[in-house]
Amino acid sequence: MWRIWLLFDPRRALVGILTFAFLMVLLNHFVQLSTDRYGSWLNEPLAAASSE
Amino acid sequence: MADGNGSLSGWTEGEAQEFHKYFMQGSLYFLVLTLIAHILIWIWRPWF
Repeated sequence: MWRIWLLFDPRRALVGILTFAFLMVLLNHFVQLSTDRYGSWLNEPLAAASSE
Repeated sequence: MADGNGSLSGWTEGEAQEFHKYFMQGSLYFLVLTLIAHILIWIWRPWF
């Protein structure tokens, strides 16, 4: 498995992986924000979780 | 850049193995943190 770093330069691979991961996390948070179930965690106090 | 020491990335086997050790360790930290976050969210609002 470590031989992968003999093929791909770790520095560029790391930058690529981190950028991809950041974009995915960003996307997923906004997707969740757009849903009914999870889309209110910013404008609704957590204590109100027992409302459903 | 032509005469890498045989590897395409120019890194030696020792360097690659060492990097891989830290890479896997970092990935494990990320995985554990993500699992903890998902468990907390599940406790708050399960999605199934």
